[in-house]
Amino acid sequence: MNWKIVCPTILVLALLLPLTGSSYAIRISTLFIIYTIAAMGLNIIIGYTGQASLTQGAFYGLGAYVSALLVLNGWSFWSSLVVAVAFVAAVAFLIGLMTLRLKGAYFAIATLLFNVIIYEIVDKWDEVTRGPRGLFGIPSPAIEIGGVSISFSGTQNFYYLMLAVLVIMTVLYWIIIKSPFGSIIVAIRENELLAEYAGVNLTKFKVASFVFSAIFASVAGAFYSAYIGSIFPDITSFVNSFAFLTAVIFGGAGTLAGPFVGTAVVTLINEVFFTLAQYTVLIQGIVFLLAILFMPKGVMGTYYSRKAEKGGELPKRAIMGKL
Amino acid sequence: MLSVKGVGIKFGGLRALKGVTFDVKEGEILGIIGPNGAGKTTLFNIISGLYTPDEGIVLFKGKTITGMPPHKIVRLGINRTFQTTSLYFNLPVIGNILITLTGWYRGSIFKALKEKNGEEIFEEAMKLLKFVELEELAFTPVKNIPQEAQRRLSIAVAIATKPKLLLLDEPTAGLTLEETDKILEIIKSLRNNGTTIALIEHKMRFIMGVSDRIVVLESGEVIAEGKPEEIVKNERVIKAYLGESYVA
Repeated sequence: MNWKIVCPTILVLALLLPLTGSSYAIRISTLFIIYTIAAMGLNIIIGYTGQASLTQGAFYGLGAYVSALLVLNGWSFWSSLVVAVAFVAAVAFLIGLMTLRLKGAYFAIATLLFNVIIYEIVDKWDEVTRGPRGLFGIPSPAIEIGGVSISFSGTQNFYYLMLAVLVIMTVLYWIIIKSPFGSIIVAIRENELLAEYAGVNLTKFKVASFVFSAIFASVAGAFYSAYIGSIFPDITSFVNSFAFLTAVIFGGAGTLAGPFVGTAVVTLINEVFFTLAQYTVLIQGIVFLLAILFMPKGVMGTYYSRKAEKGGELPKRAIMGKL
Repeated sequence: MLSVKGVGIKFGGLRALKGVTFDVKEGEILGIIGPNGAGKTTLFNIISGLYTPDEGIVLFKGKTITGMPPHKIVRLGINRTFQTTSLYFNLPVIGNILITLTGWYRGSIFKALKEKNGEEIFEEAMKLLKFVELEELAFTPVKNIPQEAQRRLSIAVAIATKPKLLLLDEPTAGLTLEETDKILEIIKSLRNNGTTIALIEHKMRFIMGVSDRIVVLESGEVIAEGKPEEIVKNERVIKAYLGESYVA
């Protein structure tokens, strides 16, 4: 696969998608983009840093709630977005400091507990979050260019907005992975002790990648609330963490394209089994199990392994353990 | 250069080290020997920051380093290898060095995100591989190179951080005589380049030949310290190694 051809092609096709006139396709693609952003973030902490965070859904939901609450209080979407991202990053920083000294499964369990705590707070703190009644009538974002106001309320406008956001977030994601920072977190994943003896402050780098993953989640969550217009405490629940996890594992943890492929599959499954909506978690669980049992490296991981076996050329970054 | 003063540590009820005191002088090769379980590796773990001793202190260039985390101690100029070879096994040989140099040069998050790895880091990695004669295996996955080559690579990884004091934990364990000689050469040229070395070994002939001085540990205590020729004659050492009946 030549990414220099594949990526622009996909982007052009994505730009042309609204020409199909199918609002269904546009809607699914918009959701796909939102979920992909959260999955990209999760891939930084799970796939590249090797720390199994099970709290991405809580950061996603928290991003949605903070920005929605501010927007409903008359703030503009853009300043709400900035505050939501900063707030979630701060929360992730504190949780990261507390949990990232733990190793392996202990870290996973600790983050799962924080997911439960955040869900409970959102669900029970009625005065602020309106609890299980949820938030309604969240207005759409708008921008003003030279006195002309553009609203992103229509399906198509929002889709183009998300496409732009996806490009920005993908570039950030790419910079993070491609930079020396990306190599250092891979060193931590591959051999923590040896990374420390290279003079790396493990806690600092782990917390930083945890905060990065949370930033991606909160951006996705904030746009989700603006897109759907209503949110409920469920959005912070572990169910979302699990969906992002399934996408990352299925697509190939620790591969650049993994979150895109995995999210596409998870989104498609949700649509195909739409009539079985109440079983979504069950179906995702089966996908997750099948992936772990038969394709532990995920779609992209398996693709690279096969390529390497056949003597094909891996990307240049593979020399530092990055795919 | 390094002073270990009255260091002791307990694991549960077991006293692994007790009142351990000795110096490592600048430019020397210090051998550390002792029967299994004497506490040699524990001592390295304390010096390199993995454990904090219950009593005593370790000074490096006059500065107390006890209680410091390994990454800080590495930055002060001490690094080590491990008894069980520790490498990035999923990476190619050169990747092990590159990733170590990246960690070493871009240790701050800001630098790590902003700066780029240039050609010079690759050249430096190749130089290090040449030093341990692994340049021909540079692009081979570590998993596929022999154990002896892995041992040399682990030394290259440790010296990538330019340590002034290098701790080698049984660098020749399980190697043939010929392979041992290769490691010996590396150790000697490291010393000639100005690196101070402390090494743990079991091979008597090897350590007697390479060391300027030797410290003998038994059951967590220093029982002898001196030049190799003094150590071989020391009664307590002979007793610890061979038993009472061998003492002349």
